[in-house]
Amino acid sequence: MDASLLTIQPASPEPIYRQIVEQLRRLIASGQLHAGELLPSVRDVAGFHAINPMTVSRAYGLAESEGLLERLRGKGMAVASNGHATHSQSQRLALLDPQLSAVAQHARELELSADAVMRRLHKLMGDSK
Amino acid sequence: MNAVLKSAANDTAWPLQARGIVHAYEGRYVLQGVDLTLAPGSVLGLIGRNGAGKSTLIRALLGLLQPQAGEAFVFGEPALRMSDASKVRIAYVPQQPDALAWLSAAQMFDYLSRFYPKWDRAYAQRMLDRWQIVPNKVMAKLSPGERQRVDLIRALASQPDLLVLDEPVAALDPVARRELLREIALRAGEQGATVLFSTHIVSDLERVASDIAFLHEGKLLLHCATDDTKECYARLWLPADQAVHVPADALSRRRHDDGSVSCVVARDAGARWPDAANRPGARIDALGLEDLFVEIAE
Amino acid sequence: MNAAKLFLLPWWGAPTLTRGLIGGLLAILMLIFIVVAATGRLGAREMYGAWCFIDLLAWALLMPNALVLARDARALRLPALERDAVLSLIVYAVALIVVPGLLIPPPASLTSVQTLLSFALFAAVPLAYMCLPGYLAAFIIVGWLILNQLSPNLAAVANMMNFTVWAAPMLLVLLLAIAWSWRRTVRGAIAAASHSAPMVLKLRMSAWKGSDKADIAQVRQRPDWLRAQPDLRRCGPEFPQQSLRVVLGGLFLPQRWTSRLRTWLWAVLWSSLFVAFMMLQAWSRHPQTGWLWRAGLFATLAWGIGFGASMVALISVLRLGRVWQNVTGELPLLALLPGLGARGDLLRAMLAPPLYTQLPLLALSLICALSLHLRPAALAFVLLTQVGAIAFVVVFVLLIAGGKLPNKWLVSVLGCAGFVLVSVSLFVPTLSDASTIRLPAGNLADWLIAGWLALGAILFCLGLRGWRGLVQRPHPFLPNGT
Repeated sequence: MDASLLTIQPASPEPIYRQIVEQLRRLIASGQLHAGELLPSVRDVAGFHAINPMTVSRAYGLAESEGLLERLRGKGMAVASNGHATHSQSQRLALLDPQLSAVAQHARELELSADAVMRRLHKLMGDSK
Repeated sequence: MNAVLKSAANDTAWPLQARGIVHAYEGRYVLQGVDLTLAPGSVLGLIGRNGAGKSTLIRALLGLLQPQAGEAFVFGEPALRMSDASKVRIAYVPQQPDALAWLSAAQMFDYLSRFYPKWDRAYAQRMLDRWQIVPNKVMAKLSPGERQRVDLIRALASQPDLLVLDEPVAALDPVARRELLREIALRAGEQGATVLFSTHIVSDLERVASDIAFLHEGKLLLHCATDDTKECYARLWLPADQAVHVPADALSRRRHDDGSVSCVVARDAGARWPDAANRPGARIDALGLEDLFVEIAE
Repeated sequence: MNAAKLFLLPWWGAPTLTRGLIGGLLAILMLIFIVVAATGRLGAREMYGAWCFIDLLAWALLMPNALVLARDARALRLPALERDAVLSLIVYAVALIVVPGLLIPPPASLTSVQTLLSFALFAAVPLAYMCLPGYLAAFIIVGWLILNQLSPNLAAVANMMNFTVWAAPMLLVLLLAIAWSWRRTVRGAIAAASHSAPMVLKLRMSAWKGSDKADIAQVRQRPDWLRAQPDLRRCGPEFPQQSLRVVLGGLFLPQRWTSRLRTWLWAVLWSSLFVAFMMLQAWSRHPQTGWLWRAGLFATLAWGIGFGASMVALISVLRLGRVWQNVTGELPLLALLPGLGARGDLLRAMLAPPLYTQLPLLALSLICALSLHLRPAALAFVLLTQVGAIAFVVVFVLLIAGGKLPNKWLVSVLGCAGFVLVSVSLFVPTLSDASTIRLPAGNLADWLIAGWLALGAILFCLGLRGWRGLVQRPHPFLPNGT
């Protein structure tokens, strides 16, 4: 994996270490990162994005404690091999939960029915294919 | 043996510490009792509006001015009576530096290198090339941006344990700015250098600062880890009929034309928002740092 | 905009302190003029001469500020203000040239048109001097001096027979030059530091003592071959005195000997111009070799000590004062460089260069004084001025490093007193026997000695104050005046 795969948005209300963890989670869930694949070193990520190395370490640490990554002795961090490679649909769907609940809230504020929103979503996903 | 013990004790001392610093210019209080401590290896971003007293605080911290009350310590020594052993470990770049204008950059580096045993000659040369500064041009003839870059190079080339930069990025273009931030981040992360820099560009702060201190009207309004800032503080919006329930400890409050109120609130020890957040119609908005500061400073 | 505002406009362009000084000076002069004129004691000739002088001062000091204002107005996109600046010149021209031209009776040798014309000239010459670029303005001064030199009896030559014939075209040329310079300064947005900036901007730049930005501008302007070549060989923590001098800069900078020689040659060249001028003047009065030689020696003495020694003292003290004011300049560097904190080293670094520079000047003055066969009393006074310059440096170095600089007014009063004492001590005893000059009370020599003693006592007290401040300060590199 290359450090450029991550994007950092300092202005976002989400702390940078969480941005990194979320992106790793998505990259792994979507299969763009396979089990056992080595991650760029803390220095590479920090240097590439000009961010504090401690932020990167913290993100890796959190990802490790969540079981996304594992520490390979002498090699650094790698994508964990414990079954994350085969993600069930429900696991991947769970990743969308934050965005979906935001959509649900906005739809209620705009007094839109679930059906109308679903139709729109179908159309959007159909178009994007 | 004694010397070893002593230097070990110094190493564990806080790189920078301020206790109750008060200072006034011509009767106007610029600093009103500031307490601040920098842990070794941390990168503290000092933020505040123009005229908030950032430069004065930095100068007081380094013993470059005598505050009217309070005391500053550098590596455990009183800042106003620093030993040479501590001075070797410090680099400071003032806002708009203009010292030694009668020397060229090469001459200044040659001169300064004799004072700093760890001076990195190759780094200085590399950075001059990279930032396209003519080494033999007298510094009075450099543009303010080039002049500041020369001073940043000189600060970094001395490989300090404590790096203090006053508005370092104001005169840099985006590419040079990113390079400087990268250098700051890596120095802190790998060499354990402690960095203090003041700025009013918040995005820089969010990238490299491990801690943030917000100086407003001579007081430190908040001082905490950068990551926590975004999670611990948020804007609470209360509709007009709930406006009386603004928490007493809110950091700021702003009344809108329609009677509604917004304020900045912090999570309590149990990571819960104040009770007012649960009132009907109340809304909690997560904020980026920039929005947070605008909200507080207004 | 009404007439009153047009009258006030040039004052807005003046810096606050100068505004007070110019205003005070002009007000006092006008008041004296009006009161004395009202008593009817002044003849037409004296009144004419006095008004010429007031006119000259007003147009040299006050009116050029309108140009500064017009330039700023253009930069701020305020066309109305820019126009008003020109209008105010016209209003002042009416008030200072036309009205007095009609009121003041012309002296016997002049017609009223010629009086008006000469008032206009006395306004146009200083205004042109202030508004033209430095290199052109110098011609006005040089031309004036040469004219003065070639015709000692200028009044007789220009016996106003054909005054109108040469004065009117000259006025026209000056007015055109002013108009050209005005336009180019306002529209071209010429930087104050550039070579072609008008004198009024340059003077303002050099009077800008708030920080050492002016010093930097000076280094920037100087051509490379004239710039000091620093000698950085003996620097570092083991050579604190030499290292401190590098940071103090200016006169204090350690230089390679070629560079130092060049600086001295440059100073000698300029001084010899002055000496040559004095010799020329002496020659025009008494065309004898003896007089020429004496005049040369005397000029060297006056220039070498009266100017040289005091200027070296003044320049070094001003430079140090600026270093201790600029918080983003050399001061933080001095405070944070390891190995430079010892007070003794600092005092030596601050004192040695200005005091060593006094040595060749002292030798020069002794040689001149001996060749002139000065009386011992006169020699003593000459040496006293040099002792005074040295004391001034020592005291102000202590005050600056000790953070105890007295306020500006006391410093300027001291400066004026020192200047008067130095010039009287230099010129009067060397030209005549001071002990024989009778003043209303006592003779001059006694008064001079009393003056020097008083100045010495004040300097001693100040020096003591500075020393105590230096001892009490936690370190000597704390900024002054903030």
